[in-house]
Amino acid sequence: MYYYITNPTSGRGAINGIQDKLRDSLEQLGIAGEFVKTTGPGDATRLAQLAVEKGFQTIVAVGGDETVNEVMNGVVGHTAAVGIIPIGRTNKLANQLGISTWQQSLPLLAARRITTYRLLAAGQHYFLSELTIGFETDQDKTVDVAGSKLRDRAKHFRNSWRQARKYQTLAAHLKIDDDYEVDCEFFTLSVANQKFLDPLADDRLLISLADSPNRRQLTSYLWQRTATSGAPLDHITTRLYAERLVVETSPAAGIMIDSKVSGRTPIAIRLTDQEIRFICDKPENAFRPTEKTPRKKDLS
Amino acid sequence: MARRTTHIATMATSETLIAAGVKIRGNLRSDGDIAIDGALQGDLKAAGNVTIGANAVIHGNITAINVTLGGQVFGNVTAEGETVITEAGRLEGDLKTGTLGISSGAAFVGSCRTSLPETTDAPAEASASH
Repeated sequence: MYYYITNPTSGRGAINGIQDKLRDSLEQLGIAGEFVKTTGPGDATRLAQLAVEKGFQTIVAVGGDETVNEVMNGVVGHTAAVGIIPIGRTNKLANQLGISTWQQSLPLLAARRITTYRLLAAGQHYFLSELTIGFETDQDKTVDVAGSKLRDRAKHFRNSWRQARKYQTLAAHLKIDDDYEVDCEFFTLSVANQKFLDPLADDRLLISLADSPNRRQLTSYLWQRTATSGAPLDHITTRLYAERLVVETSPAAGIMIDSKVSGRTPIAIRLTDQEIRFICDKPENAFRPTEKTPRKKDLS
Repeated sequence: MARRTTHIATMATSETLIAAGVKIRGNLRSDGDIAIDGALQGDLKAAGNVTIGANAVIHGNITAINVTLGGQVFGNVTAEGETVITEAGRLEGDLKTGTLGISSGAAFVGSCRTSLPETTDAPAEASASH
């Protein structure tokens, strides 16, 4: 039986407009289950823990990235699968799993195709994608709320542009895997599980740094963020892989995990042995080639 | 410091990227390719190819399949396949490689050892059969 954890504030109360239609559709697909509503921050984690203790094997987060992250943190250490019905303002996690709309998510939930990922941890907080430091995190939150009307979006874009142009890059010191240390400056730094971005890849920390973008790159980045509420900066200048990472910045900077501000630097981030099973567009083995791909070394 | 704007086309597609202005201390390893345009104080070992950009300064040894050297390297280079030192490249150290290409203007101070192509006596046999 499915357990649906709904965030009534996600997507400015989007659930209220689709609730009846959603329940009907779930019933038709034969995956109707128990519905609960969150009442505040952290509540989705508590509800997810209760659900796995009750024996539910499919916990569905009905909301945005924050809700999914909270549910994920409640399911850690259990075998229950996590599904997503994306109705939030930012749905990066769902989009990365091939789920773009709530309507599209329903047959995927019914199919229950599962991919397993190893979770990353920043302190005691688990995540998969993504942790960011820099412009995105430091940007004034009053500016970071784009309305749905074109005029609101244009205003948001203008304000974001102004902030970005005067944004000072952060000086950082990174310690990676006890092997090497990096001194650098960045506009944004992001950390995600590589496998989450590329299903063929292994579980690893993918550390991406972007230098200050030029006008064209900045325009493209900010417009995509305004229009789609989440787009990566497309001019990554440094890309590193690791199992463990410590980030120190000067000055100390805010950290955002799955679209939620979650502390400040310095921060230790690691790839954990904890696994999470996500219901996504394709099962894990659908991405795997049928024959072993020869390594570069074998080809030379 | 003004950064040279020379970029190597392969940098964008390489697995591990290190931009100009980034300084690394320690040994860097990769299961795939590495493209570096920053500074490294330590050894660099890649299971794939290594591309050294024009802004790169490396004090350490490099081991890879193929190496394209467009920056400054102070250390030994070992490449199973090909090593190419471009016109902006400078290598001070010994080089052990399969094949070597050096552009005009490149600097190389050190000794070099390349693999000799396999010799066959097939032509002699062929001529004997006529």
